[in-house]
Amino acid sequence: MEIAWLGDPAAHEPALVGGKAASLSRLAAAHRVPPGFALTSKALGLAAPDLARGEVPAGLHEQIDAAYESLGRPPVAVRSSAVDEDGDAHSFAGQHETFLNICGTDAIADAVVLCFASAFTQRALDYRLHVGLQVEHIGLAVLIQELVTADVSAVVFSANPINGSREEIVINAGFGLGESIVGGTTTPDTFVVGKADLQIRARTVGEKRLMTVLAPGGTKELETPALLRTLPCITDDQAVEMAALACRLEDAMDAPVDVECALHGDVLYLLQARPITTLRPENGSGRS
Amino acid sequence: MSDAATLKPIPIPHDFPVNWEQPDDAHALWELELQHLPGQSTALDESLVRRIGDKGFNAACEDFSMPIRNAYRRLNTYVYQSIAPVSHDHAVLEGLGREAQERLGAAIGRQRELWDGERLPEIKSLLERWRAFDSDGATDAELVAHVRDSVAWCERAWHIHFQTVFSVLVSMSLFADLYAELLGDGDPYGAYRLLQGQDNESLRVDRDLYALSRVAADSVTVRAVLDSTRASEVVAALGTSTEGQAFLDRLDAFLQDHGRRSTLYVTVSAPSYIEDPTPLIVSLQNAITQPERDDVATLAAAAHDRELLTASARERLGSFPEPVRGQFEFLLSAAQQGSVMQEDHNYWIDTQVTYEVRQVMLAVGRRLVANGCLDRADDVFHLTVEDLDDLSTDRRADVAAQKAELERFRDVAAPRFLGVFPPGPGPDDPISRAVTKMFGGEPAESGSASILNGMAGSPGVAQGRVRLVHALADGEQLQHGEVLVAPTTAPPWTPLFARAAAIVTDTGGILSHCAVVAREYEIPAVVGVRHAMATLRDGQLVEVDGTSGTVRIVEE
Repeated sequence: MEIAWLGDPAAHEPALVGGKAASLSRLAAAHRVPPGFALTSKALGLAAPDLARGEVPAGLHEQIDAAYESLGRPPVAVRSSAVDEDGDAHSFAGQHETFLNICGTDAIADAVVLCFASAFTQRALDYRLHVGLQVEHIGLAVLIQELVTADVSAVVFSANPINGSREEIVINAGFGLGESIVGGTTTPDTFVVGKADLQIRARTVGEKRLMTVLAPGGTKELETPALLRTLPCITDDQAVEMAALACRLEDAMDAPVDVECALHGDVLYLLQARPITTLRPENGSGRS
Repeated sequence: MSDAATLKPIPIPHDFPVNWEQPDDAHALWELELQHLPGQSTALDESLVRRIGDKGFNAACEDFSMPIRNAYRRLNTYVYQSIAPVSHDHAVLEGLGREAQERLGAAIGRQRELWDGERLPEIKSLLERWRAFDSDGATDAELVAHVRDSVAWCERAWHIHFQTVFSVLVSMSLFADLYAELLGDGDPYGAYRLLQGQDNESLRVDRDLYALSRVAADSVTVRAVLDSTRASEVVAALGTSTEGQAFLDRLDAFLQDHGRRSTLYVTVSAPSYIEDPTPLIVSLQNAITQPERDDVATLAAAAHDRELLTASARERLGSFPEPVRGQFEFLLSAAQQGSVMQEDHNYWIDTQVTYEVRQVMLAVGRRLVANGCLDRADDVFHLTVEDLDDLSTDRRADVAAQKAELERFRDVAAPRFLGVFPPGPGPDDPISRAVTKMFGGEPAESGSASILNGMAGSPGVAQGRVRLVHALADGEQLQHGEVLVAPTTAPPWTPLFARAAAIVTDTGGILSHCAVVAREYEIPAVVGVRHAMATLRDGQLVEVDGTSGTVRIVEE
């Protein structure tokens, strides 16, 4: 099986579609996850010799094209999804490539090649060695998902990563696509929301100096207009909606989670959710 | 004040002795207000201008929580202005600035609605009250009461004026800043091209005036009189023929509609066109020599260009997050409203309120003459508002002293700055930037005797011979294709623009009336040069580069 659609039972299998895609596939049943499909680890394993030469074999190319057609040929995000990723112990956050605003089957195929290559960069291999994962047979899938042209992106922690409190939800949000927030290149707005009552506890407007916006065939990072830097990028209601989403995901995953989400207009999309792997003890006694 | 007090005072010229009215005055920076009050002002001008500042400018500052306050002082017959921050504490200013941004943000998006629905109706009702009062039929006591009412109405009108103007300036300034951030390519006019081609009261008056000039040009008799007679004698000369008399009727109709303007902004001592139509005759003499033009078509073409440029800007912003596009659309709409209101408020408030107050003052002057307190009705302009509480005291000695002071300082060069310069650069917040775009900043030294730096006012490059025009009445000297150089240009000057190759002014910034209208006429303008009148001479060939804001002397 070369293609598995998010939400189909086949796409719930980490061994087949990687941890990231499997996680999203399970979430897609109950949450608004942008539609998409995975190129399975099996398909990529068979194509590995071609991919290593920088080519997508014709058969796989056709499969991608057919699936892309079913998706309606929108701009997509192409992400690598490793089979041993997103476990409780190992977060590959930021270790593998993500390509945003990819348009057309050929461009998707190019991005798939680059995803494949990214799994074998020295940095990725060092990380694997560091956390004790194998480097001989890396199972890799690629997730292709309709791109949310985000007005606002946010990372939501269902526990406070600063003080370890399980009673607080922390939201970091900024204008545009999520890269400037996730990549830490800009100081986001920060909302703290009480988990029990979903009341806003604190609201700090960050400078949001940079924002990621769409550019032809990708994205670019720009200075946020001065006027918008001083304004909160989400309303209190939107903060509460994000907090509620994080609560539901924490319940579903039975652990504190960090969630990537995006607003397009008034619609909140779930882009990623995974257990927080680095949360300090609850009483906050640990020193960093 | 303590750190300001330790700063070195600006040297005071020997022929301009300054007695500060208040002890703190010496510690502020005072700048000669040439843009709106060029030349000397009378005591009554000052009385009213002070109210414009305190009850107008500053009341509107409070409404919007703006962190600045304005003061006017008349020093040796020249009006100086000090716009200073309310505090030297950075945190205080920042807090006020945020509050101001919020309040102004709420106001600028609906400034047209506020103007049409609330502000203009209130101004019109004030004008009605003035027009309904029979000054000459009133008793002394009624007239004194009416003066007090008039001052209160005037203060209210100027309060509305500055509520309007701050919205205008801030909307256009914020839009220009945002445009530069998102789409700027170094063109200082990029943002303003999206505001062009909108009709306003200044352009409407100019069109009516041009239409009147076509009537004149079509009559051999009238044209001959205008071509060969000094402006001040044209009306008498026209009265001697039937055709001329018929034209005078047309002229009267124009004056009924638009004759309340003077050649200045807010100077109550300046006669209106109704009282002395000479400046209007100058404009007509100028206009009949102009080639045929179709202002409506020009405006429509500019509007068409604006729509194309707007569509292209929207396309370039298409990939930006909605909050950014939303902010752009909000400020574009606000600035487009502001661009129109920049002219319309002037037509209704600066012009008409000043006219009505002037008529009240002239009525008081006539009464004082009748009561034996003045020799001439217009001597009332040498009194203060407080003096007008009493219509039975002989004021002739006061008037003589005021006239002597005006005479004494008539040819003295009033220094541009008095007091002390502030310790550091001014605040850089949206409101201060907007004020700078109105009044102009400090041009950089050019480092060359043949280049004068100013502010970009209207794009384009043109060459022409210099014509210094101190007052609009001198406008008849401006020949076709010459460069109009003036201290400032109030809206009544704009009919002259059509004859000029380019405009150079000593005052103003990119949001001044001069710059706004020059852009609509597509004539290059460099504004806020500060010393163009003092440096340039009639007949010099200059190149005016409105895009870069420079004037180059090509030939002596």
